[in-house]
Amino acid sequence: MENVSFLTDPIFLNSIFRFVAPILFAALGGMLCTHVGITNIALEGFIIMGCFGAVLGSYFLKSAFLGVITGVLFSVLASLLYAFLKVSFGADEVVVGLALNLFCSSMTVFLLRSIFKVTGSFTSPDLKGLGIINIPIIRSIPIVGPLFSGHTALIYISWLFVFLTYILLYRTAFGLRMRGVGEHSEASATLGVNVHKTKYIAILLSGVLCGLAGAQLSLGNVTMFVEDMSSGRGWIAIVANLLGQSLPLGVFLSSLLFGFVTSLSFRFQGLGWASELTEMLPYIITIISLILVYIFSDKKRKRPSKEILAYKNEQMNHRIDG
Amino acid sequence: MDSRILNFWKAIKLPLLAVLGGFVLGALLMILAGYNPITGYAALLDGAFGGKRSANLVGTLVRAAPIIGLALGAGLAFKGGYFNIGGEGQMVLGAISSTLVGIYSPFPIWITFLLSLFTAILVSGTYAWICARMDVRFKIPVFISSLLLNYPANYFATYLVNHHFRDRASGVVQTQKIPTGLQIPKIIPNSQFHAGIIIIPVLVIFLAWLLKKTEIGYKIRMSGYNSKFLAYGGVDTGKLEMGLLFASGAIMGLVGFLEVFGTRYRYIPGMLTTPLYAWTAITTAILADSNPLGILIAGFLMSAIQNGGYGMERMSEVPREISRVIQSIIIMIICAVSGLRGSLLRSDKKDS
Repeated sequence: MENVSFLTDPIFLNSIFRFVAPILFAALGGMLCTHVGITNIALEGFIIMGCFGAVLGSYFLKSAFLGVITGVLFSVLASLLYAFLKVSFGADEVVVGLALNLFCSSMTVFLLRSIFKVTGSFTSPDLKGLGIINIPIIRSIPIVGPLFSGHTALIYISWLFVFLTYILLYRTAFGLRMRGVGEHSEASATLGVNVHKTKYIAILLSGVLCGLAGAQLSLGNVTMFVEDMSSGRGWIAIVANLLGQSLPLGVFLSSLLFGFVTSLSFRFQGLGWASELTEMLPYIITIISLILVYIFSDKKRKRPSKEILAYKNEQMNHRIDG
Repeated sequence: MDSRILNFWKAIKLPLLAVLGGFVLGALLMILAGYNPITGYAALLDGAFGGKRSANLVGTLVRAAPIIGLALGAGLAFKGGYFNIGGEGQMVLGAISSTLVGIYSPFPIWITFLLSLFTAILVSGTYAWICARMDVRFKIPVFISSLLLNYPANYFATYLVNHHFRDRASGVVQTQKIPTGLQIPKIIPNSQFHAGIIIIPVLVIFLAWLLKKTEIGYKIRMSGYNSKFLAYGGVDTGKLEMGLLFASGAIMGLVGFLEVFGTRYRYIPGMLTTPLYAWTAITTAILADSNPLGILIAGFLMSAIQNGGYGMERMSEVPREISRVIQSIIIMIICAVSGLRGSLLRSDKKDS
């Protein structure tokens, strides 16, 4: 690396949180689901619904704000379907997640075709993107200015949600109930907690957050809808949640890492690296960080899964055999 | 005999209901979007099975081959309780590596052919094996790692073609053609139906036999029900998982190999991903409850829906994207009903 001066380049610094925000929103949504004992792998689908809804709303209602609202609405509808299948019907976690992802992706493609009469992508001069807001004093500080200022409202809101989810989980009675449901749903039920309702709310909140993630992607980062534009961010968010140990600050930091790596990968393209190679980077870092999660995680916090139990038995058998 | 019919009915009831539901809800969606579902479905049927001298039926069969193949690969891992959803990346790496061996191998034609096949199986199998290894060693769930690894595989294959092995003369981003001697001959003239497709039904029978009649098949099924139980029985579940994922990936590699050596004779970025083979295959495996014989039928059906979509677009105003929606509705119904029954596809049910 002969030249690292780009690290202080305002354009690069400004791009970091653009890439962080969608991952952060979705990862916080995934985090809320984890706390009620659900591994939500449908985040990817919720995000794409958010992307499409936001473009749809912005185009027809002629307002970026109403676009964001529509995006959230679309994503929430998808999350409602997920909650319905997962909580009310007791569907398998992985299968229902895959089903929802496929459904959301195919619905957006179908609607794109039916409403806008195009395939692949849609953009229009009538599409209102999110405006940039500068923070007065901070904007003129070098490095800090471009990093923290000059963003869409949604990016500032994404930081706010780190605090909001913290307060919800650890400072409210409902948060306590959520964590109780996640820890031991039967015990919570005997204490009079409505387990189904709690799970529904957590899932719907993840829908709200993924809707915001999608809106930032399609009205903030760009002003257009592209088929499958979520491109794995929902999955990276799942890993961000794992890496962040499902703690708001941890999720923020791991989203920051993945967003930073993504913006770095785009930066490398600007430096003449093959785009195919730099685009691999975020996914590879994500997988490496999963390995680090295992190595550094506090194993006592984890409930033993069937694999761990199987592993222990296996070790025991080895000892007996030996 | 009666009980056999009853069992068959039991196995077929839910998928049948799901497919029916998928079409009904699909029709509803068409009406909401302002299309006529009757002309739409008529065109879909024709697009799937009709055409001059059943050309569309042949097209459906050709498309069904990779879908069924990939579904067998995914289903094999699903049976053991491991969600290998990285079939796309595994297939792509198998396809590109075997293509390169096919083009550049200095050996006689038949050795090159076998070497290419072997490369596809080895590369794809290893790529899937990595997921199992990371699960065993670092407890990374297979469904996350296998999905994430799709992306680097696709990017890497495109990188290889774009920067190192591009057929410059053609002006398109694609590799050169493999030598004529390596190309699997077509059986049905004027179609893409090649001799290699015959491997698919053979694989179906082999896997059905393996799962039902052999000890390793028993272990795989038990692993799906309860791997803890299997570990108690003294089975090295980690080894089983790694072997299973390798086999699953190897099948994906075989499919990638067949697509290159049987249909296109070269690797073109997007040729395996744009038709969404891998995702349709996952839908197929879920619809068939990972049962090899079921996959054969379900894969044909999924292919018919997809291939029919193109016909539908040609002959009616309904966009072909509706077929993807119908497919996803089908597995959502499977999800709902099997969840309700509480007898879900094998997986640990820790909570509701």
